[in-house]
Amino acid sequence: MKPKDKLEDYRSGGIGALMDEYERAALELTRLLETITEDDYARILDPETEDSDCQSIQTMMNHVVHAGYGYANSIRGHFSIPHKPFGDERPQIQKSEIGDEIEKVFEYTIETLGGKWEMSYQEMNGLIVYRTEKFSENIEQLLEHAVMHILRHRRQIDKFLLKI
Amino acid sequence: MKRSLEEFRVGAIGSILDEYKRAMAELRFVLENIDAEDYKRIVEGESEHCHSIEVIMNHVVRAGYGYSNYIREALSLEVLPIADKQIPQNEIGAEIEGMMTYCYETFESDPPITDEQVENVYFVTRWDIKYNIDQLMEHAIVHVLRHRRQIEKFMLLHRSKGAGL
Repeated sequence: MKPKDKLEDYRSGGIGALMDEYERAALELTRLLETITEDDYARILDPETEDSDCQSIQTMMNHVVHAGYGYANSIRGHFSIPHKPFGDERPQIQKSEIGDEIEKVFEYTIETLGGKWEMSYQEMNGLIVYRTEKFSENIEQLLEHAVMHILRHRRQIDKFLLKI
Repeated sequence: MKRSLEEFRVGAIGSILDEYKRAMAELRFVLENIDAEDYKRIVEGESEHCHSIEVIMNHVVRAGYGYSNYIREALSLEVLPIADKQIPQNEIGAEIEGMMTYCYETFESDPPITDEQVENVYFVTRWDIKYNIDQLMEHAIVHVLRHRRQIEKFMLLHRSKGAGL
């Protein structure tokens, strides 16, 4: 992952644009995490929450990385690309490893979508990755959600840091 | 950047509106560093609806009103017609502000939109995709991010051409 400072750094196409913004959000999150001490990373900041993923920055980051693989695997499943289901278990990621783990899940997503940067809007719209009776999600909606998932949890960390 | 907890809006809807505002602030920051010539300059090879920063920004403001109107229509709230405006560069900040206020008022209507509605109120857009309110707002925010990125690309292109003169 790296910031973009020349035209060649940008991916082409609609999927490429989404991946560029995914990368930007992931980079921003990584830089924020670099400013946090190990103690604050592991500290329980919201003991009252019913969501066990949101008790500390560490549990939140375990969840963010796990979710990132989940989004990529949904797409892999659709394209019949081999993938290893990650199940419900959340590996506990240490502060010293989180930057690399975010990089890995981003690269996994890039490998998932490699060669598909210029998919047309018609193709994206028709590529339904997830559907229930009421809810449906095409590949564009899924990637938009993936970007927003990182941004929303970065905001939550911004809030946590103000409580410390 | 928020410097105190009180500046954060509350709940899931609050997080959506905070991130929308943040994305728009980043876009405005990029716009502040663009001169009048580059703002209007046409980029060859781009489709007509997005071939200059000016055209992109007319589209971004219009789309912002459009997203709010989908939600207002679905909830039977007052819907304002969307003007097809050509916005001068020196008015773009105020136009963005007006569009964001319209969005905030949508969510803070009386009674305000609930988390349950955000998940369970669905509609189909004119581009024939089904969204609930949460999905549409994620689309609205990423729409701003994508066009900020496109403007950053245009500026790299303009500067590279300027450097070659």
